[in-house]
Amino acid sequence: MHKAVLVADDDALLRLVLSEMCREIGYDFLTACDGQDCLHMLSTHRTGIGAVLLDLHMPKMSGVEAAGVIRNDPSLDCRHLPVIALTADVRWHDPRKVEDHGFDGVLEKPLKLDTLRTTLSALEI
Amino acid sequence: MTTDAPGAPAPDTPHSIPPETVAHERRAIERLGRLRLVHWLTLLLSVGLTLVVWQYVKYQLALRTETRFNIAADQVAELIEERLQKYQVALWAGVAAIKTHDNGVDLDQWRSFAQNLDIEHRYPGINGIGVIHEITAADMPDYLARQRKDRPDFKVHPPRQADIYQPITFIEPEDINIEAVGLDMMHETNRYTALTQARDSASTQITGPIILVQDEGRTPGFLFFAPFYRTSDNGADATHADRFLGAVYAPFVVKRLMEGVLDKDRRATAVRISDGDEIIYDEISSEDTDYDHDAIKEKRILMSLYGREWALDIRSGLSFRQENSGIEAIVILVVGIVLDVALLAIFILLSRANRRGLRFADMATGALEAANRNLEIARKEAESASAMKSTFLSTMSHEVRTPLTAISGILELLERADLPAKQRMLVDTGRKASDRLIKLLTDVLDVSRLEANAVALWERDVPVSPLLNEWQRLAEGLVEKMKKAVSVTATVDDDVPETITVDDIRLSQVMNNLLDNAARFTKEGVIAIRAFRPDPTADGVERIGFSITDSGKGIAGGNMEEIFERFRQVDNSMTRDTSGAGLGLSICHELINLMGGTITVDSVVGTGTAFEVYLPVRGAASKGEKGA
Repeated sequence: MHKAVLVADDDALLRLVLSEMCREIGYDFLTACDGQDCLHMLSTHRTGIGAVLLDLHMPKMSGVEAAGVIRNDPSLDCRHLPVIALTADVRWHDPRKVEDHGFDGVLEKPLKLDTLRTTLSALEI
Repeated sequence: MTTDAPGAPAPDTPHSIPPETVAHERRAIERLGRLRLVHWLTLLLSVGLTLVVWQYVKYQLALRTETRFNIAADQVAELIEERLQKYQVALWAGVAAIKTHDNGVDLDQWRSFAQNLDIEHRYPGINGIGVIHEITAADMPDYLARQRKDRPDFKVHPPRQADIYQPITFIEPEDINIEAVGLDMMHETNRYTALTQARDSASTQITGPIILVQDEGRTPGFLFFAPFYRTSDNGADATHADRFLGAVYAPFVVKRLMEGVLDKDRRATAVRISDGDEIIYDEISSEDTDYDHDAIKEKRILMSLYGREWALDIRSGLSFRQENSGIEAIVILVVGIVLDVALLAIFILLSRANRRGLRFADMATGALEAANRNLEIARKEAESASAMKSTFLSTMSHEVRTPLTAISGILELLERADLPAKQRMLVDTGRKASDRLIKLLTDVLDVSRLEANAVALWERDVPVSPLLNEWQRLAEGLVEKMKKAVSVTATVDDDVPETITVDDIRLSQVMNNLLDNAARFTKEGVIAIRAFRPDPTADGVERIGFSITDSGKGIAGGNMEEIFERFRQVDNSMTRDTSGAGLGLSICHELINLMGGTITVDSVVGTGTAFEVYLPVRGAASKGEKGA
């Protein structure tokens, strides 16, 4: 039984598709629409969330900012929570770059189902 | 075959001269081009030299003229003196003849003497030669009687009552001098004075200017006397006057005398001879063809000749002027001035040329600067366009990817659903289209980023065998999807290192592309993937090689390297079954180049194609080296 995956993306369409993809490969999901929302979800559902898929370009608070908070805010207790960047911005498709900002990996949009499955299963949530 | 990356050439480093240097140089050139102190000094020096030389030559010529004139003048005087000297000799010869005849010589004897003397040839200019005797009144009858023997008409004239007479006894040739026969010297002052002086000094004397009685032209003349004496009886000193017997004499018409001296036509001078206030000979006349109104040179030579003081006025004529025109000096002056003017002209021309050159330089500089400004504008535009393009591409890429993610995801999900056959087919088609779109987008963006050198390699240590296996799985998946009867093999040579340091993601991207092509163009047979160890490069760099060899239809055409160019399709026909914009191989090429390696292709139509990728290997252990 896996924990849920928190999908944070400002695009409603993508939230839907990504959620369905998670469900298809056997994961529960939660959604957030921006960085702040993501942090809110984390603080309220901390124990149920096994991984975060974080879009980078979001209003109010970007994925990068959110990652920074997740990693550094002790009150969240999310230091070891797997956070995967999920972005269409090719400049962030560099594993080294995302690692520097606290991510555990990066998934490129558009995303293949198999890729998502491989990545999530490797996290062993 | 290998190629280098067909990228854009690096921009030229501009060879620009700093503006201060340009301004400085320009000022210097301008300064040098003006006519400056140096030029004026040079001109001044040249003109000065010209003037100096001109004056010097003028001076030298004047000296020469002076010398020439003096020589000519002296020559005239010398000739006159010489001539008179000669005549003097003739007179003494006459005296000697008389003495030989013991002071008594008669007409025949004198004639004989005169003829033998041949005065006309030997002494041209002389009018004759004769004898004067001093006769007392007492001796006169005897004297007359003697003379009348030969010449019955002989008489002493002009008639005079005196104690002493000095008649001309003989004069030869007599015919032209007939009036002189019997002429009494004492009748006229000049003749008498000169004869007396000759008597008293026992030397030859000439008279002052007289008109010879025998001269029809009544032109100036003179007589030349040489006295002779009775020998002393007993040695007692008797005065010359006591012993005076007479004189041998010669009459001269000065004109005739001068005719013989020096042909005037050959002289460039005119001579005027004066005895005291009287002019006895005058060539200086304005009617003379050689007369020079403004004679260059005039000279007076004083000669003491046999008791008289003659003044020779020598005046240069026109021919002398012509001979001594001093034109050389003028020529030098003119030539000098011409050269000076030429020098000035040269300076001016050079100065003009300098200014013209400067104008041209300014023109060219202006044009260049304008061109540079335009280029700068163009460059900025190009840069901004490029930046805009990058931003555009990145933004568009990002924007396009977002809906594409949705489409691709939905289609994938639909594919897994239980759909009727038709819907399944539709979904499948949609997914293929979406995949192609994604690939196209990725390729375009890759090309753009490679061009902008915006691709950074992320290298890590990667084990080789698993990498090959991954590629094999990938190929098998492709072959299966394309429903080809093709098997895929993967081999790793023994001498290949176990792990290599490489950006495996990028390398796999390249391999994916190559394998995709291999699968596409092979109907049946084998796709062989191999890792091998090629020879090091010429510089000694170790390498690893990956090859993908297929048994497909091969690539036609002469120039294999062209397939690595952008937008090149292997098959450009309308029926090609390949997708993509033809960017794949060019991206592979640039990526491999970025990694410091090379990619090659070899193909035989109908047999197959082999791609080989060579990469430099760093710090990896080879399989064979591991362990004992």
